[in-house]
Formats: sequence, structure tokens, C-alpha cells
Amino acid sequence: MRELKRWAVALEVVALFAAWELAISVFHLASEKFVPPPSAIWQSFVAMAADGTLAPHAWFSTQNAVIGFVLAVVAGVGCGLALGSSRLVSEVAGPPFWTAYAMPRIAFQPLLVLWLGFGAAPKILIIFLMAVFPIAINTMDGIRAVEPSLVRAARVYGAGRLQVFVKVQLWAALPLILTGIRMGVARAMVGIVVGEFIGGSQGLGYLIFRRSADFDLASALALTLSLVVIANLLMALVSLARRIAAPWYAEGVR
Amino acid sequence: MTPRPAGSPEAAPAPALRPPPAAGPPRRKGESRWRRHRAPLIALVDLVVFLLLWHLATEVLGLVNRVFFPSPGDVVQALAGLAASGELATHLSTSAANWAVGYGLGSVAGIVTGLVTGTSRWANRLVMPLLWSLWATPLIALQPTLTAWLDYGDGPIIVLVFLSTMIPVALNTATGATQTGESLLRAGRVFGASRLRLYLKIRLPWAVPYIIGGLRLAVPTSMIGLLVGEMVGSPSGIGSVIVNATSRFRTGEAFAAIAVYVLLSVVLVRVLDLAERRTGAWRSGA
Repeated sequence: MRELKRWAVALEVVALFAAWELAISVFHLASEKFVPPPSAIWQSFVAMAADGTLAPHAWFSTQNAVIGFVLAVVAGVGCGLALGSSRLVSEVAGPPFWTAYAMPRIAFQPLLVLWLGFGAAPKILIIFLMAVFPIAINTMDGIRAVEPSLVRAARVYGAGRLQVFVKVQLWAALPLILTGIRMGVARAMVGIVVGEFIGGSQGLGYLIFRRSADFDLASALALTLSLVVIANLLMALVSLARRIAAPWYAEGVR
Repeated sequence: MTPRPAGSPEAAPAPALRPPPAAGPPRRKGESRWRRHRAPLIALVDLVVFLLLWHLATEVLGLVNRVFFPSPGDVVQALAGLAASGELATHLSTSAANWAVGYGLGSVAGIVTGLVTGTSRWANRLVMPLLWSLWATPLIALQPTLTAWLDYGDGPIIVLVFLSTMIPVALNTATGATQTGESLLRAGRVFGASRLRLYLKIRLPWAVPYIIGGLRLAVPTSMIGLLVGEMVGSPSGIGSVIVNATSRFRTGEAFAAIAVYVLLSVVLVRVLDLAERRTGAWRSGA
């Protein structure tokens, strides 16, 4: 049944692209320059990959994304642990945390460029800022939802605070932490793109911007679609990790 | 508990959208005054301490160059300046108009898509995975292409706001619509309701709290769409003020514009929260 469903969705995506191709290449509903058909998009993707324009930009974006995201996971899980397990921390540090969360972080991107320059730093920072909050919030929720009886059982067996943290709470919260990480991936993608749109000179987001400005829409759409594919692949990967690391956690959707 | 601000979509478990919460728990009578006011009081103290530290660091100690990082006073002054020159009103009205058109159309499209998707099994199978995958992707990456299609200006911004509103609203509405009480629908059919009437009289009202949940979730996402659209490709709107002010080293103005944004989103979320509580109340009783 599950297989069938997957095939149906794949078939649907193929049908959508086929309809798009037909509408442009066969029926000429719009100019090919203006709305490039999938075949043209694929061709320009292959061309960009072949002539070496794609690789350095992709490498720049990947580097930033990895650094920013790893920092976000470390900081997010740390903050979430602190906020979720101590009442004092959550009452004193909670309000500034929620205020920072309520801030439209991408609005600061021009300022980040002003402060940190045109290099990789503001990009890494915005990726970090976008990804850290969902991770922290879900970790916090996960820690709060840990069954008290588990913690009590560990205490009875003589576990210290740190041991309870590492051996009980962290594991019990793992599914929600991974959920947060999955959302963090989606947010980080936004961070990558915005970071390179504003004050960027390299990277996939910058390349999208550049190519659209040159009216090379086939390339721009090829890059946009690759971002879509990358985002979905990464999220599927995190979902898989959750299924492996926390198989006991039943999830309603997907 | 922490005073969690309304509309924090990240808090949702597994699916990114959280089910609408029931009406707030009734306040216990014996609660002491201190207890009830503790959280907001601490938040207020936090705010005051934060502003004082900020003021101290920038104006008194001069730790940073105020060209790069304004003091609270600079921000207030810049805001007053923007308001007095009429710039604020012009940009704000552009932003508000674009946002309202995109958000309005996006909500309607999202509600219709969600209702249809949530009620037909096939539509559910075929459309939901696409919606989820769109929800996961950086739609703002379309901004430059949209600008090429629709010209520099309001068009791409409205489309971005539309898309970033429609998807969460559709997902949430569909979730609500799939959960419509089967017996209610049967009762409707027994009394001879037509398909359309079943939609209008049973499914839509049932989904209302979910729809409002989706609308609330769409506030921050649509704001991101608006901001990116305005920052990247528009001569007017609050987002363009941020970019232009920053490039002229008027960081006070940039901060003031950001503050206006924050205020707007907070107000919108609060309004929808109130609506959610009103419309959610009857269900917990039913």
C-alpha cells in the first residue's frame, strides 16, 4: 500500500512536468525564454555542471550550510536542555529567548552584512540563526515531555544529574530533537538563500539571483529546483535517522 | 511555564502544524496574585535590564561605534524622524497593501485547497505530499525568477506572500477537514444536504479552528515572504527601508524599521489568537 502511494506521487510529479513540457514546447502557451520547459531547465543544469560554474558555488553554499547548521545543532540542543530542565533558567532566560525568536531574523541580514562584511561570516550566521530556534524549542519540549517516572527510576538507581541528562533525558527527547533538526533544515535553506541574495558574491542563491537578472531563467529555475530537491532529500534523511535512532516513536504523518 | 509567545510553529510535534489548542484552562481561584503575575513581571524586568544594558554599552561606555550599532535612543529618534517625514506612512502602507492582498488571496486559496484535499481520498493522496514538500522548500528562492516574470515591484512580493500563506493554511485546513465527524456528515446526508451544503454547513465550520491555526502559522511565514521580497527587489516598503538605511550607514533607521515589523507581526498573531480562542470554545463543549 505504502509502495503504491509512493508510486502514485512519483507518477504525479512526472505528469506535472510532462504537462509543463507539453504546454511550452508543443502548444507554445508561453515563450520558451520566459517560461522555460523542463527540458531546457535540465539542459542548462547539465551545462552549468559541465562547464564548472556550478561546483564552486555549490561548494561555497555547502560549506556555509554545514558550519552554520552544526553550530545550530550544538547550541540549539544545549539551550533546549537548559530551558527544558531548569525552571529558573526558563523563567529568567525564557523571555529574552522568546523575544529573539519572535524577531524576524532575516530582517537583520543587511545589518549582518554591514557588521561582518561580504564574506562567508554573515551567511553562516544567518543560517545559524534560522536553524537554531526550531532545534532549541523542540529539544525543550522534548525534555519537558520526558516521563518523570523514567527520571525517578534513574535517580533511585543512583544516577547523578549529569547521568540523568545524558542517559535518560537526552534519549527520551531524541525523537523531538530530530523533529527540530528536520525543521531546522528547512529554515537553514531559507537562510542560505537569503544570505546570498543580500550582499552575496558566491553560492547557489547568488547564482540564482545573477542568472535571473541576466534573464537566463532556465538556469535560475534549474538552481531553484535543485534547492527544492536538496531540501527534500535532507529532510527525508533526518526522518530516516529518526526512524533508525528512535524506532519506538510513532509518528502520525510520514 | 514560560510565556511562550503566540504562534510558535516550531513548537509543533511531528507535522509542522500544530492542532488548535482548546480554549485556555480556567484560572484557579486560589492562585495568589504573585503567582499569576510572576511570569509577565519577570519578562518586564528582563526587558528593562536589557534596554539599560544596551543603553549603557552604546551611549555611556561606548563599547561599539554607534554608526554600526545604534543605541535605544538613536532608534527611537530614527523612528520619530521616519514618522515625521511621512516616509514611514508611505512605506508602511505599501507593505500593508501588498501583504493584505497576498495574505487574503492566499488564505482563500489555502482554505479551498485544504477543504477539497481533506475530503477526497485521492486528492489527499496526491496533493498532500506535494504540499508538504513545498512547505519544506525555500520558496523565496523563486524571488529572482518572479521578478523576471512580473517586473521589479509589487508583483513578486504579492506572489511570495500568497504562496507562503497558502501552503500552511491548506495543510492545516486539510488536517481539520479529514477529521470531520463522520456521524455529523451522515446526519447531514440523512437530512438531504447536497454536496455543497455538506461543505458549507459541516466541513467548513468543523475546520474553522484549524483554519485559524493555519492563518496564524501563516503570519510569520508570510512576513518572511514580504520581507525578502521587499529587501531583494523593491524600491518601497519597510523591507526596502532596512536595506537602504543600512547601505547608508543609518543603522538607527534600519532598527526602527525592524521594530515596526516586529510590532506588526505581534499584533497580527495576537488578533488571530483571540479569534482562535473564540472559535475554539464551542468545540470543547460539544
